[in-house]
Amino acid sequence: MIKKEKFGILTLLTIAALISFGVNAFSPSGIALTGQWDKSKGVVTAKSKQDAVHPEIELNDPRTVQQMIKNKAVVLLDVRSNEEFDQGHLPGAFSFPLAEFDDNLDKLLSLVNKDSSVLVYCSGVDCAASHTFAAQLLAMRFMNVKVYAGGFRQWQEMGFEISKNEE
Amino acid sequence: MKNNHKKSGWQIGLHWILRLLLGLTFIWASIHKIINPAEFARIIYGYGVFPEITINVIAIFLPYLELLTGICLITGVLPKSSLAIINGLFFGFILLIGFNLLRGHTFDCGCFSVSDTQTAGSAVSLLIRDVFLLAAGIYLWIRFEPLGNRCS
Repeated sequence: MIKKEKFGILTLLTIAALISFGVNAFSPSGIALTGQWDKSKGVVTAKSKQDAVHPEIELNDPRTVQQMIKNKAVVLLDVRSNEEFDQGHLPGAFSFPLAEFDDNLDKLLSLVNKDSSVLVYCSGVDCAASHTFAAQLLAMRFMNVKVYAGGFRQWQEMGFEISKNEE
Repeated sequence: MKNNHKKSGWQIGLHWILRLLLGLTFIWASIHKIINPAEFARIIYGYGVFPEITINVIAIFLPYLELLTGICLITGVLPKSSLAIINGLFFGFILLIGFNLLRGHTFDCGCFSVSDTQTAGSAVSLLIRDVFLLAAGIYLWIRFEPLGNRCS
Protein backbone atom coordinates (compact mmCIF):
# COMPACT_ATOMS: atom_id res chain seq x y z
CA MET A 1 0.00 0.00 0.00
CA ILE A 2 1.52 3.31 -1.01
CA LYS A 3 1.96 6.30 1.26
CA LYS A 4 -0.90 8.22 -0.37
CA GLU A 5 -3.46 5.55 0.56
CA LYS A 6 -2.14 5.28 4.11
CA PHE A 7 -2.58 9.02 4.50
CA GLY A 8 -6.08 8.75 3.00
CA ILE A 9 -7.05 5.98 5.44
CA LEU A 10 -5.78 8.00 8.36
CA THR A 11 -7.70 11.05 7.12
CA LEU A 12 -10.96 9.08 6.78
CA LEU A 13 -10.55 7.49 10.23
CA THR A 14 -9.92 10.92 11.76
CA ILE A 15 -12.90 12.55 10.03
CA ALA A 16 -15.19 9.63 10.99
CA ALA A 17 -13.99 9.86 14.60
CA LEU A 18 -14.57 13.62 14.79
CA ILE A 19 -18.04 13.43 13.24
CA SER A 20 -19.19 10.34 15.16
CA PHE A 21 -18.12 11.44 18.64
CA GLY A 22 -19.24 15.01 17.94
CA VAL A 23 -22.72 13.98 16.80
CA ASN A 24 -23.01 11.46 19.63
CA ALA A 25 -22.29 14.15 22.21
CA PHE A 26 -25.18 16.31 21.04
CA SER A 27 -27.66 13.76 19.68
CA PRO A 28 -30.69 12.98 21.88
CA SER A 29 -30.14 9.30 21.08
CA GLY A 30 -26.43 9.49 21.97
CA ILE A 31 -24.84 6.92 24.26
CA ALA A 32 -22.16 7.04 26.95
CA LEU A 33 -18.58 6.18 26.01
CA THR A 34 -18.83 3.04 28.14
CA GLY A 35 -21.98 1.03 28.82
CA GLN A 36 -23.03 -1.41 31.51
CA TRP A 37 -22.23 -4.79 29.95
CA ASP A 38 -21.53 -6.77 33.11
CA LYS A 39 -24.38 -9.27 33.55
CA SER A 40 -23.58 -9.74 37.23
CA LYS A 41 -24.51 -6.08 37.79
CA GLY A 42 -28.00 -6.37 36.30
CA VAL A 43 -29.63 -5.53 32.98
CA VAL A 44 -27.04 -4.65 30.34
CA THR A 45 -27.36 -1.27 28.67
CA ALA A 46 -25.44 1.13 26.45
CA LYS A 47 -26.51 3.96 28.80
CA SER A 48 -28.17 6.11 26.18
CA LYS A 49 -29.61 9.55 26.90
CA GLN A 50 -33.07 8.03 26.34
CA ASP A 51 -32.27 4.96 28.41
CA ALA A 52 -35.12 3.35 30.29
CA VAL A 53 -32.74 1.20 32.36
CA HIS A 54 -32.51 2.43 35.94
CA PRO A 55 -30.34 0.14 38.07
CA GLU A 56 -31.82 1.53 41.31
CA ILE A 57 -35.17 -0.21 40.70
CA GLU A 58 -33.62 -3.61 39.96
CA LEU A 59 -33.84 -6.68 42.16
CA ASN A 60 -30.90 -8.97 41.46
CA ASP A 61 -31.36 -11.71 44.05
CA PRO A 62 -33.57 -14.54 42.72
CA ARG A 63 -34.19 -15.89 46.23
CA THR A 64 -35.60 -12.54 47.34
CA VAL A 65 -37.90 -12.61 44.31
CA GLN A 66 -38.90 -16.20 45.10
CA GLN A 67 -39.77 -15.17 48.66
CA MET A 68 -41.81 -12.19 47.47
CA ILE A 69 -43.77 -14.41 45.10
CA LYS A 70 -44.33 -17.02 47.81
CA ASN A 71 -45.62 -14.33 50.18
CA LYS A 72 -47.80 -12.85 47.41
CA ALA A 73 -46.13 -9.53 48.22
CA VAL A 74 -46.05 -8.33 44.61
CA VAL A 75 -48.10 -8.28 41.44
CA LEU A 76 -45.84 -10.05 38.98
CA LEU A 77 -45.90 -8.88 35.34
CA ASP A 78 -44.27 -10.83 32.50
CA VAL A 79 -43.66 -8.44 29.59
CA ARG A 80 -42.38 -11.00 27.08
CA SER A 81 -44.57 -12.10 24.16
CA ASN A 82 -47.71 -14.17 24.80
CA GLU A 83 -46.07 -17.17 23.11
CA GLU A 84 -43.05 -17.04 25.42
CA PHE A 85 -45.36 -16.64 28.41
CA ASP A 86 -47.39 -19.70 27.43
CA GLN A 87 -44.25 -21.79 27.11
CA GLY A 88 -43.24 -20.99 30.68
CA HIS A 89 -43.42 -18.21 33.23
CA LEU A 90 -42.90 -17.45 36.92
CA PRO A 91 -45.74 -18.75 39.13
CA GLY A 92 -48.55 -16.24 39.58
CA ALA A 93 -47.31 -13.94 36.80
CA PHE A 94 -49.68 -12.05 34.50
CA SER A 95 -48.85 -11.65 30.83
CA PHE A 96 -48.54 -8.03 29.71
CA PRO A 97 -46.37 -7.92 26.57
CA LEU A 98 -44.54 -4.63 26.23
CA ALA A 99 -45.66 -4.33 22.61
CA GLU A 100 -49.30 -4.36 23.76
CA PHE A 101 -48.91 -1.90 26.65
CA ASP A 102 -51.54 0.56 25.43
CA ASP A 103 -54.01 -2.15 24.37
CA ASN A 104 -53.83 -3.82 27.79
CA LEU A 105 -53.82 -0.68 29.91
CA ASP A 106 -57.43 -1.06 31.15
CA LYS A 107 -56.79 -4.67 32.10
CA LEU A 108 -53.63 -3.62 33.94
CA LEU A 109 -55.40 -0.85 35.86
CA SER A 110 -58.08 -3.30 36.96
CA LEU A 111 -55.33 -5.47 38.42
CA VAL A 112 -53.12 -2.91 40.13
CA ASN A 113 -53.41 0.55 41.58
CA LYS A 114 -50.72 3.17 41.92
CA ASP A 115 -49.72 1.99 45.41
CA SER A 116 -49.46 -1.69 44.47
CA SER A 117 -46.07 -3.37 44.60
CA VAL A 118 -45.36 -4.35 41.04
CA LEU A 119 -42.49 -6.56 39.88
CA VAL A 120 -41.75 -6.65 36.15
CA TYR A 121 -39.55 -9.14 34.33
CA CYS A 122 -38.64 -10.22 30.81
CA SER A 123 -36.25 -12.84 29.47
CA GLY A 124 -33.08 -11.83 31.30
CA VAL A 125 -30.30 -9.31 31.82
CA ASP A 126 -29.85 -8.81 28.09
CA CYS A 127 -33.46 -7.68 27.73
CA ALA A 128 -34.49 -4.08 28.49
CA ALA A 129 -38.24 -4.58 27.92
CA SER A 130 -38.90 -4.91 31.66
CA HIS A 131 -37.24 -1.54 32.28
CA THR A 132 -39.14 0.10 29.42
CA PHE A 133 -42.41 -1.25 30.84
CA ALA A 134 -41.46 -0.16 34.38
CA ALA A 135 -40.55 3.32 33.11
CA GLN A 136 -44.03 3.67 31.61
CA LEU A 137 -45.61 2.70 34.95
CA LEU A 138 -43.37 5.14 36.82
CA ALA A 139 -44.35 7.86 34.35
CA MET A 140 -47.99 7.09 35.30
CA ARG A 141 -46.99 7.74 38.93
CA PHE A 142 -46.95 4.16 40.12
CA MET A 143 -45.05 4.27 43.40
CA ASN A 144 -43.65 0.77 43.91
CA VAL A 145 -42.30 -0.63 40.68
CA LYS A 146 -39.31 -2.96 40.59
CA VAL A 147 -37.59 -4.96 37.87
CA TYR A 148 -36.40 -8.52 38.34
CA ALA A 149 -33.15 -8.18 36.39
CA GLY A 150 -32.34 -11.88 35.99
CA GLY A 151 -35.76 -12.51 34.45
CA PHE A 152 -37.12 -15.81 33.26
CA ARG A 153 -33.72 -17.22 32.22
CA GLN A 154 -32.17 -16.84 35.67
CA TRP A 155 -35.31 -18.20 37.33
CA GLN A 156 -35.09 -21.27 35.08
CA GLU A 157 -31.36 -21.68 35.74
CA MET A 158 -32.04 -21.59 39.48
CA GLY A 159 -34.35 -24.57 39.03
CA PHE A 160 -37.31 -22.73 40.56
CA GLU A 161 -40.93 -23.69 39.83
CA ILE A 162 -42.20 -22.72 36.38
CA SER A 163 -45.86 -22.47 35.33
CA LYS A 164 -47.01 -23.28 31.82
CA ASN A 165 -50.17 -22.58 29.88
CA GLU A 166 -50.91 -25.91 28.22
CA GLU A 167 -52.67 -25.88 24.85
CA MET B 1 -1.75 1.08 -8.69
CA LYS B 2 -0.98 1.84 -12.31
CA ASN B 3 -2.97 0.07 -14.93
CA ASN B 4 -1.37 0.28 -18.33
CA HIS B 5 -4.18 -1.47 -20.14
CA LYS B 6 -6.87 0.73 -21.55
CA LYS B 7 -10.17 -0.30 -20.05
CA SER B 8 -13.03 -1.25 -22.30
CA GLY B 9 -16.52 0.20 -21.88
CA TRP B 10 -17.87 -2.87 -20.10
CA GLN B 11 -14.94 -2.82 -17.65
CA ILE B 12 -15.60 0.80 -16.81
CA GLY B 13 -19.29 -0.03 -16.40
CA LEU B 14 -18.49 -3.02 -14.18
CA HIS B 15 -16.19 -0.95 -11.99
CA TRP B 16 -18.86 1.68 -11.51
CA ILE B 17 -21.47 -0.95 -10.69
CA LEU B 18 -19.14 -2.48 -8.08
CA ARG B 19 -18.34 0.92 -6.59
CA LEU B 20 -22.05 1.68 -6.34
CA LEU B 21 -22.81 -1.76 -4.92
CA LEU B 22 -20.18 -1.53 -2.19
CA GLY B 23 -20.76 2.16 -1.48
CA LEU B 24 -24.55 1.91 -1.27
CA THR B 25 -24.30 -1.26 0.84
CA PHE B 26 -22.20 0.60 3.38
CA ILE B 27 -24.39 3.72 3.32
CA TRP B 28 -27.57 1.68 3.73
CA ALA B 29 -26.05 -0.44 6.51
CA SER B 30 -24.96 2.63 8.47
CA ILE B 31 -28.31 4.42 8.65
CA HIS B 32 -30.18 2.34 11.25
CA LYS B 33 -27.04 2.16 13.38
CA ILE B 34 -26.68 5.95 13.38
CA ILE B 35 -30.36 6.39 14.26
CA ASN B 36 -30.23 3.91 17.13
CA PRO B 37 -26.71 3.58 18.58
CA ALA B 38 -27.96 2.00 21.83
CA GLU B 39 -29.53 -0.92 19.96
CA PHE B 40 -26.44 -1.28 17.80
CA ALA B 41 -24.28 -1.40 20.94
CA ARG B 42 -26.54 -4.20 22.24
CA ILE B 43 -25.99 -6.08 18.96
CA ILE B 44 -22.21 -5.70 19.25
CA TYR B 45 -22.48 -7.01 22.81
CA GLY B 46 -24.49 -9.96 21.45
CA TYR B 47 -21.59 -11.02 19.24
CA GLY B 48 -19.86 -11.99 22.50
CA VAL B 49 -16.39 -11.12 21.20
CA PHE B 50 -15.59 -7.52 22.08
CA PRO B 51 -14.24 -6.31 25.45
CA GLU B 52 -16.94 -4.44 27.39
CA ILE B 53 -14.98 -1.20 27.35
CA THR B 54 -14.87 -1.11 23.53
CA ILE B 55 -18.55 -1.84 22.78
CA ASN B 56 -19.92 1.71 22.99
CA VAL B 57 -16.92 3.22 21.19
CA ILE B 58 -17.43 0.79 18.29
CA ALA B 59 -21.18 1.51 18.26
CA ILE B 60 -20.53 5.25 18.02
CA PHE B 61 -17.63 5.19 15.53
CA LEU B 62 -18.30 2.30 13.11
CA PRO B 63 -21.59 3.55 11.54
CA TYR B 64 -20.04 6.91 10.61
CA LEU B 65 -16.97 5.17 9.19
CA GLU B 66 -19.30 3.02 7.05
CA LEU B 67 -21.25 6.08 5.92
CA LEU B 68 -18.15 8.13 5.14
CA THR B 69 -16.32 5.39 3.23
CA GLY B 70 -19.50 4.52 1.30
CA ILE B 71 -19.97 8.13 0.22
CA CYS B 72 -16.28 8.59 -0.61
CA LEU B 73 -16.13 5.43 -2.72
CA ILE B 74 -19.08 6.57 -4.80
CA THR B 75 -18.14 10.23 -5.10
CA GLY B 76 -14.46 9.57 -5.81
CA VAL B 77 -13.04 11.43 -2.81
CA LEU B 78 -10.17 9.26 -1.49
CA PRO B 79 -11.76 6.27 -3.25
CA LYS B 80 -8.86 3.85 -2.94
CA SER B 81 -8.38 4.60 0.75
CA SER B 82 -12.14 4.13 1.25
CA LEU B 83 -11.94 0.84 -0.59
CA ALA B 84 -9.08 -0.30 1.64
CA ILE B 85 -11.20 0.41 4.75
CA ILE B 86 -14.29 -1.24 3.22
CA ASN B 87 -12.30 -4.36 2.36
CA GLY B 88 -10.77 -4.39 5.83
CA LEU B 89 -14.22 -4.14 7.42
CA PHE B 90 -15.62 -6.94 5.25
CA PHE B 91 -12.64 -9.09 6.24
CA GLY B 92 -13.38 -8.33 9.89
CA PHE B 93 -17.11 -9.12 9.47
CA ILE B 94 -16.22 -12.45 7.83
CA LEU B 95 -13.88 -13.38 10.69
CA LEU B 96 -16.52 -12.38 13.24
CA ILE B 97 -19.39 -14.28 11.63
CA GLY B 98 -17.19 -17.29 10.90
CA PHE B 99 -15.94 -17.42 14.48
CA ASN B 100 -19.48 -17.30 15.88
CA LEU B 101 -20.64 -19.94 13.40
CA LEU B 102 -17.80 -22.25 14.40
CA ARG B 103 -18.60 -21.99 18.10
CA GLY B 104 -22.38 -22.21 17.50
CA HIS B 105 -23.10 -18.79 19.01
CA THR B 106 -26.48 -17.32 17.97
CA PHE B 107 -26.25 -13.61 17.30
CA ASP B 108 -28.07 -10.67 15.81
CA CYS B 109 -26.29 -9.56 12.63
CA GLY B 110 -27.38 -5.93 12.94
CA CYS B 111 -26.35 -5.49 9.31
CA PHE B 112 -29.38 -3.75 7.87
CA SER B 113 -31.78 -3.64 10.83
CA VAL B 114 -31.55 -3.96 14.59
CA SER B 115 -33.56 -7.15 15.01
CA ASP B 116 -32.45 -9.80 12.56
CA THR B 117 -31.34 -12.65 14.79
CA GLN B 118 -29.31 -15.19 12.86
CA THR B 119 -29.94 -18.90 12.75
CA ALA B 120 -26.98 -21.05 11.65
CA GLY B 121 -28.44 -21.19 8.11
CA SER B 122 -28.91 -17.45 7.76
CA ALA B 123 -25.46 -16.81 9.25
CA VAL B 124 -23.97 -18.99 6.51
CA SER B 125 -25.79 -16.98 3.82
CA LEU B 126 -24.57 -13.81 5.55
CA LEU B 127 -21.04 -15.15 5.40
CA ILE B 128 -21.38 -16.02 1.71
CA ARG B 129 -22.75 -12.54 0.98
CA ASP B 130 -19.81 -10.87 2.76
CA VAL B 131 -17.28 -13.13 0.99
CA PHE B 132 -18.86 -12.15 -2.33
CA LEU B 133 -18.71 -8.44 -1.45
CA LEU B 134 -15.11 -8.74 -0.25
CA ALA B 135 -14.22 -10.48 -3.53
CA ALA B 136 -15.80 -7.55 -5.40
CA GLY B 137 -13.81 -5.15 -3.24
CA ILE B 138 -10.53 -6.99 -3.84
CA TYR B 139 -11.21 -7.08 -7.60
CA LEU B 140 -11.79 -3.32 -7.55
CA TRP B 141 -8.59 -2.78 -5.52
CA ILE B 142 -6.48 -4.78 -7.99
CA ARG B 143 -8.03 -3.19 -11.08
CA PHE B 144 -8.37 0.21 -9.49
CA GLU B 145 -7.89 3.19 -11.71
CA PRO B 146 -9.02 6.70 -10.84
CA LEU B 147 -12.15 7.55 -12.81
CA GLY B 148 -12.27 11.27 -12.64
CA ASN B 149 -11.76 11.18 -8.88
CA ARG B 150 -10.20 14.16 -7.19
CA CYS B 151 -7.51 12.19 -5.36
CA SER B 152 -6.78 8.59 -4.42
